[in-house]
Amino acid sequence: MNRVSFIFVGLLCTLAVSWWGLVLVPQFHLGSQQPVAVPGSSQTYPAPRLGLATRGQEVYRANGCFYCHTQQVRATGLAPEFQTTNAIVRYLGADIERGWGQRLSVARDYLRDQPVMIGSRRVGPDLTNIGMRRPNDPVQANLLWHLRHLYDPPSVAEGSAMPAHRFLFDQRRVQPGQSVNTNELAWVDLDTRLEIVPKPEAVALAFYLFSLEVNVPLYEAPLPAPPGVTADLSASAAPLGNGPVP
Amino acid sequence: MTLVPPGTPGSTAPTAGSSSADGHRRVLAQIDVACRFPVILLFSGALLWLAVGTALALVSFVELHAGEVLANCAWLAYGRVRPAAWNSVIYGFASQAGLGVALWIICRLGRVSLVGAAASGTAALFWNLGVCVGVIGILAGYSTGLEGLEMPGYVGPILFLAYLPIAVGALVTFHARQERGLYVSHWFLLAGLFWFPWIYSTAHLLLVCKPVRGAAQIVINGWFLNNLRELWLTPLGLAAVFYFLPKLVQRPLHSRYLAMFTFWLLVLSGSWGGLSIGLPLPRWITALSTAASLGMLLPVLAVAVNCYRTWRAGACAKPCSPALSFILGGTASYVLAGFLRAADAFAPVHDITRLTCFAEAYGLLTSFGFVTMVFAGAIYLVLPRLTRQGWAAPALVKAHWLLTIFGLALGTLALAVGGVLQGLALNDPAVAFDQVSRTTAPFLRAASLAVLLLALGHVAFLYNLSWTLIRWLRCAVPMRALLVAESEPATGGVNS
Repeated sequence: MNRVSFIFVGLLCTLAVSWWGLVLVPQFHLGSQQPVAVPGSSQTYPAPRLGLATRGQEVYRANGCFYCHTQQVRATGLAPEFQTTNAIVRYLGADIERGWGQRLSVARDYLRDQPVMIGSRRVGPDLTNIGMRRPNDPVQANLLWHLRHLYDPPSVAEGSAMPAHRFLFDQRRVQPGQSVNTNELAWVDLDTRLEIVPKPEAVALAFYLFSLEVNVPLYEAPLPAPPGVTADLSASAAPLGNGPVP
Repeated sequence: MTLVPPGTPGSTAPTAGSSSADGHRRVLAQIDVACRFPVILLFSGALLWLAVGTALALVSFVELHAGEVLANCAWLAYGRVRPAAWNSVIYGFASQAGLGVALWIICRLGRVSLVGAAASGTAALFWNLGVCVGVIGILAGYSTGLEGLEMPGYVGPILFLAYLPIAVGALVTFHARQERGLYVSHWFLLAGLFWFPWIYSTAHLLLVCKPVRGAAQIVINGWFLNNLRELWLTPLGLAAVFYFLPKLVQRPLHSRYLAMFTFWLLVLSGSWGGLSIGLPLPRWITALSTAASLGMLLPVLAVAVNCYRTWRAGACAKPCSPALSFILGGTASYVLAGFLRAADAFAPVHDITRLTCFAEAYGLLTSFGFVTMVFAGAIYLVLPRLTRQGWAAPALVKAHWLLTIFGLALGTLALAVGGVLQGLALNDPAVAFDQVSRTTAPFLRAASLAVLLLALGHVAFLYNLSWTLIRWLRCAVPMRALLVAESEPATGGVNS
């Protein structure tokens, strides 16, 4: 290999092939994906993120939450159960059993994300479906849970190793006789007698987290049916699957 | 066929007695003088960023098990400090040190003075400015959210424009070389210099300037991160290994063909890896990428055999010089990181280690082991030749090596074992998540201790460099001599 031209052409070809294979073709393949209609609804999936949740996504990005939290649910396999001519698809894997999601994550789930922050390490739990973890609580209670968790993680999640994000909050000393909780998302820390008022960034982040949910069946990732309901294997007929994971 | 880097004692036997040997030394001295302005600037900036990056990495590791420590400081939130540390080490240290070593090797191998030294030196200042703005931007909360490209979008053009004069200067110098034969290191340097602008501009354009939609970002980001390691940092590091190892053990490289095998497999396999099974992507992408990652075992093995045989044939009976200790440590780190990475790509292992801190084990070995140790060894060898002075504190060199070795061993072991245990716990749904965190916590504490050792070593390195340069500037060479030397035309003696 004593000829520079030979090395140069070799390098050009190898990089061009790699660029073609892992940049151009995936862009043609994945870049052409479109949102799909939600069965039984006029909405599309993934839905555009709106309002405070969009701002919250920027807070999530700025503070690098994705270095500890993933947004990708794994499934180790499928276990179809056939019942006469119908089948229920059950996903296998610890992520599903932990309740981190109802189905595995697929490329189409990230169509509206900018940037896509799927994460590569689970120091904390997966957040794909964090907006659906407390389905019975009202919105206000969900938001408050997230805010308290951001302020003092172990106070709402026992044993949490997450660093506290107190810089997202204002702390005000409560004076005797002073009215508190003027902000409905604020609270008083009884130990320190401080009124904890979330900054707009914290509220936006809580809205973003609450907006994270993957609960729509796709052709490439159908949802398991609620107990007692059978479903066709085709996604178009798959139920929304709001019930617990079988 | 060139098996020994020109300049290695014994490789270019003086033909006319001592006067020829003196002429040879004079030529090398003039080459060193011509390139020292940009190279010393690149080395100084690199070491400063290495110390900053390691300190930030230490803060990020401590925050993983002591979350309350910096809860009120937005600038030091874990999610900001971690990418700031990574960017400081990769763009601030590794890229700069690699470019400095590349310039010096190209000049020495080609027996030619550096072309455009003033432009390269000025560009080095702009590169540092870009990294500085980028790291501050990340800490201030302006990260792009794309791993490996976190620095705010406006930093990309600064880095790119700063890179061009250095790379063009290197290529023009290469073109003007007097020794026309190509040595092994040339291949790797050409590959790195050619690939970096392509992958960086592609990733920057398609992810930051005009982002592609959805999961295509995952693919391009993975492609960029993998190529940044395999086709930018690795070629620069291996070029240094293949140049300095034979030079230090005073023996020819064991096999040029094995190096050729390494080179072509590296560019073929290395450019396809980085997208592991389990990512929410079409299967053909992850399958192809995983096969390429497993294929990377072959070039790693070839490097191991080539370097081991070169070293064994040479000075294994003699005490290692500090530079050789670092080069050998860096090579061993490369091989070990390659094995761990290939193991992680193997599906049964990956099922356990995926999304755990296992990947950080070989990440640590690559950044603070392979890249840092090889370039540190190169700097320990090159700087005395540029300044014509020894190191100010030789004892600190030994301390740096010991701290690095112990830090790497402890950190790699802790993160690898911790990663496997974390993965086993994560895969068992009966284990609550807080229990998973408790399982990993002792290993993260050990990793923090390891990074502390590494940080101490890097501070010792920076102190030694600073003191050496201050001593040199005070007593030996006025600053303007650097610039005057650059403006002198290359003499016939230089190119003899």
